[in-house]
Formats: sequence, structure tokens, C-alpha cells
Amino acid sequence: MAKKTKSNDIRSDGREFDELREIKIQAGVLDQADGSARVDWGITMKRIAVSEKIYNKVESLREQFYIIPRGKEGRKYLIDVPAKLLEKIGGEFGDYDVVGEHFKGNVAVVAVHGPREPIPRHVADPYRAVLRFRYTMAPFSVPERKRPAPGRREIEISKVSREALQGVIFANEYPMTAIDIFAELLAADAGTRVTAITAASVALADAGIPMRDLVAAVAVGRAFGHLVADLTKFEEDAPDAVDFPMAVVPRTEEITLAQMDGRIARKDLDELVELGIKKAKEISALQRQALKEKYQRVVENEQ
Amino acid sequence: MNNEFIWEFDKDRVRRFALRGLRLDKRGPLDYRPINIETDVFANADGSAVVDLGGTKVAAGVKYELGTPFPDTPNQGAVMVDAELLPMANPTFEPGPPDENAIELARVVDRGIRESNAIDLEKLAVEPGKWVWLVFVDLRVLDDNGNLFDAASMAAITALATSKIPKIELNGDVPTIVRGDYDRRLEVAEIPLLTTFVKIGNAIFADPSADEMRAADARISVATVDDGSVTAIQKGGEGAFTKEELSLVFDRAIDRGNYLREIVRKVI
Repeated sequence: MAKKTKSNDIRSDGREFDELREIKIQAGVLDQADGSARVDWGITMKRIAVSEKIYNKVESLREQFYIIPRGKEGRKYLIDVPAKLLEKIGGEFGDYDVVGEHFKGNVAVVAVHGPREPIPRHVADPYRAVLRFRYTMAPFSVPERKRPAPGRREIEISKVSREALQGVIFANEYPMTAIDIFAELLAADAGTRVTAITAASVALADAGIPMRDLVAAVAVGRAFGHLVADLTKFEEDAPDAVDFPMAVVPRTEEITLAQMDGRIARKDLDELVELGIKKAKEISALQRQALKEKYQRVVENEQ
Repeated sequence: MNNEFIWEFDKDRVRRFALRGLRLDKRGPLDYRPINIETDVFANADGSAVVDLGGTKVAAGVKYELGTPFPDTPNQGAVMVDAELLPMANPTFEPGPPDENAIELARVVDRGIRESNAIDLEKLAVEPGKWVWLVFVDLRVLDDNGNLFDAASMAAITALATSKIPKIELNGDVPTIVRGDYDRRLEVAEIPLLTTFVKIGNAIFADPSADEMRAADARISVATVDDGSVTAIQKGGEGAFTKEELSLVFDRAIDRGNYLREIVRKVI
């Protein structure tokens, strides 16, 4: 059994190596904001019941696969397995029963207020709108409760996210104003900044802010010996993990956010950037679709 | 889109309508707006809910942590409610640490739950005198269309009632949490819920909308439980209630509380 699954050709959650997680984008989810969006970005986990014998063997799979033993409930032994992985290595679990499923990933709600009067007033720029981005995480968005006050990580992410969007906005059309973007992460599982930036672009468009394109963001990198797109938390924790979040202007293929951590050979970097651009274009199509759906809804309601 | 000039117009209209006992959105004085509750929404929370009360959206998440008990209650765990009025929720909310409104919201929701004894704190003791569960309820206000109190209170109790207590492993004699693995559901003996009313002129309206909140002389929130007991009261705003008005509000709070409890019970 162990031999078959040690094969390195299957990704830890069953996706193709260049495949994105499931991404659901909704535009216009809040009333009080001028523009808003919600993005749910993650994988579906199935909960399966297996025999005690198999349960005791899954430990050997856990190094390579994103599998979580959930202990005994009644007479059943439960394991959480990504739905796509179950399709590929279901044989490992013998005669299993699916007893439930849940979503594991990021949930971001982003609101745009503005262009509006900047407070405090002295930040106003006579030539263009001031863009502000505030990324926050709910205390319950992560496994260990996070204190509510923003930490150093959130402040840095807010800065680079703002800079990722600044260049596409025609800010000079709104001198002396502020455009405020508020991104709240309600659930987090790797790639939260790219989720927030992707949602923020949709919220900006929903607010009617003129832009030369919709910025789309995605993380690429390496895990368990493969170059991959859209890492999960499990992959980010791999011994050889490289995490490279990128934001892309899809039409021009410009890169407006690039951060990387990990250790990677020079030759792999160009490939990762190519992969990021390709994936950002897929996300861009989903962003456009979400905006179309919202305005379709508006038109239907008016008829 | 939202600006203070329009708000002034709306305030005026709300007050003129209220003179005749009418509401701008055509509701009856005791009618609630549509309510939608989602549960188990956020995978990393031990319990979670999103309440949409007529467009007012509040997300609640529960996290369990192990801690040492307070010296005066060595055999009891604790439930703590925190609230943040996110600046996305209302153009007048500013970034920064919770202000007096956020703190009031959290404390009133907290009191309603605490005083009802909905949660048996002794059952939250892991090792009496040494280790207890600290239960954090975090409320995130996403969209403020009025009546945050009732939406937050529904979100908090729903998240608690659907929450599960994590499994513990012993490391020597120090217990540690096994994240993502659960021991049992939290027992919630009561469903304490806030019901909020505003006074506008001589009218008293339940479940105030955003423009009714702004037009109101005063606000009052009353937490009730099944047997008609009241477990918390909070008056807000610069105006005042007569004793007759208060008496009326108490009767209506119990009735409206029962109505909200039916809705909450369907999802927990």
C-alpha cells in the first residue's frame, strides 16, 4: 500500500499541480459600502468513515497528503480527505462511507468607501485620490485565536496590497479625496493576501472607480518537489516550500505585487512567474463574471 | 451614495411618518425585517454564524482556549464577548481600537448571555483550580443597516450553540488543544436574545432600520429568555422613556424575543 501512494505524481490535495482551488466571487454583497465583494477560495473536504485497520495505516500517508484523522465517533473511524484526492487515491481507504463534507479555505469580504472626503484632511492630495487599504483578520479566522488589534503582518500586507492596486486606478480623476478599501478575512487557509486583492479589484469596480484593468492575484510556488499554483496551508508547511504571491494586470501582464519566501533556484523563477500570469488570467475571467452577474441581477430587479 | 445631507432629509421623513405611527419601509411597529442565519461558515472557528437582519450583517466566531481560572472562581471557565464595528460596515465607522459603541455592543450582548446562565461555567472547567476553557466570542460587524444589537445577539448565541469543544491531549500534566478535533458540543441551556426598540416622537418601533436609528430620540434593548424573564436591559440615546413606555417595551420584548428564538432554534 505504501509503495503505491509514495508516488510523487499526485498533489497533496488531489489537484493538478497548476490547478487553482475552487474560487467563488460575489460582487455587491454589502449595502452601506459604495462597492463590495466576497470571495470564498478553497477546497472541499470529504469526511469518510473507514475500518479501524485502515485508520491505523493512514498515518503513513500524512507526510505527503493532506489527510486529517478525526478519531473515533461511535463505532466509526473518521478521516477528512480533500474531495479531489479521494477521487485519485480512494482505493487506499478500502470500503469507506462519505459521512459529510465542508469547505476549507479563505473567506474574504472587501468593501470600498469613496471617493470621499479624506479624514484626517491633511492626507488629501491636490492631484489625485489617496488610496488606503486595510487588511484585517477576524480572531476566529485562524486555528489559534488571533488578538483583534492589527499586527505587523497585517500592516505589511495592507501596504503591499495597496501598492498592488494603486497603479491601475485613475486616481487623478478624484483629487482631494480618499478611496478606502477594507478587507476582512473571516477564514484563512493560505493565500489570504491574494484573496483580498482579488476581491478588492471587484469591489473597486463595483464602486464604479475607473481602472485600466482588474488586478488578479494568486500565489505560486513549490511544495513536495513540484512547482505548483495556489498553495494550501498544508503545502506552505512543506519542508521545501516556496511561496510566491503575485498580483497581475492581466491585459498587460504587468506584475504589481511580488513577494517570495523560501529558497529556490534561479531557473525555476521564470517558470513560476509565467505560471502566475497564466493563473491570474483565469481568475480575471471569474472576476468579470461576478461583476456581470451582479449587474444582471440589478437589471432583472428593475424590470 | 451615503451622505449626511440625505440622512437629514430621511430623518425628517422618518419623524413625520412616525407621527402617524407609520414606518418608511411600510412595516408594522413590531415587525422585524427578514432574517437569514448561516451556521458553520468558517472552517477555523470552533463555532460560527453570519446573521443578516434586513441587510445588517454580523459575523460571529467562537474560539476555545485553555487558561487558568480567575482566583475567585477557580472551578469555572469564562465566556468573553468582543465586538468590532469594522469601518467597512458604515461610512462613519473609523479604523482603530473598539470605541464606546463597539464596547457597549459587546458588553450588552455579553450580559444577556451571562445573566441568563445559558452556559454552565463549571462545565467549562478542565482541571478545577488549574485549567479551564476560555470561550471567546468575536463579533465582526460587516454591514450596518440598523439594529446591530439584535443581529449581534443572534449571531453570538447561534455561534455558541453550534460550537464544539476541542479535544485535549495531556503533555505531562499540561493539557494542550488538538486543533480541528472535537470532544463535544457546548451545552446551551437558554437562548437569551436582545430585542431593540426605538422611540421616535410618540411611536415605539421594533427592529429599527438605519434611518430610524438616526431619527430616534432614544433606544432600548432588552434581553429575554423562554420563561419570560429579562436578563439584560440597556437604554441608549439622549431621549427618555416614560414608565408606561417602559412597561410596554418589556411586554413587547418578551413577545418579540419568542419570535426571534423560534428562528434561531431552527438553525441550532
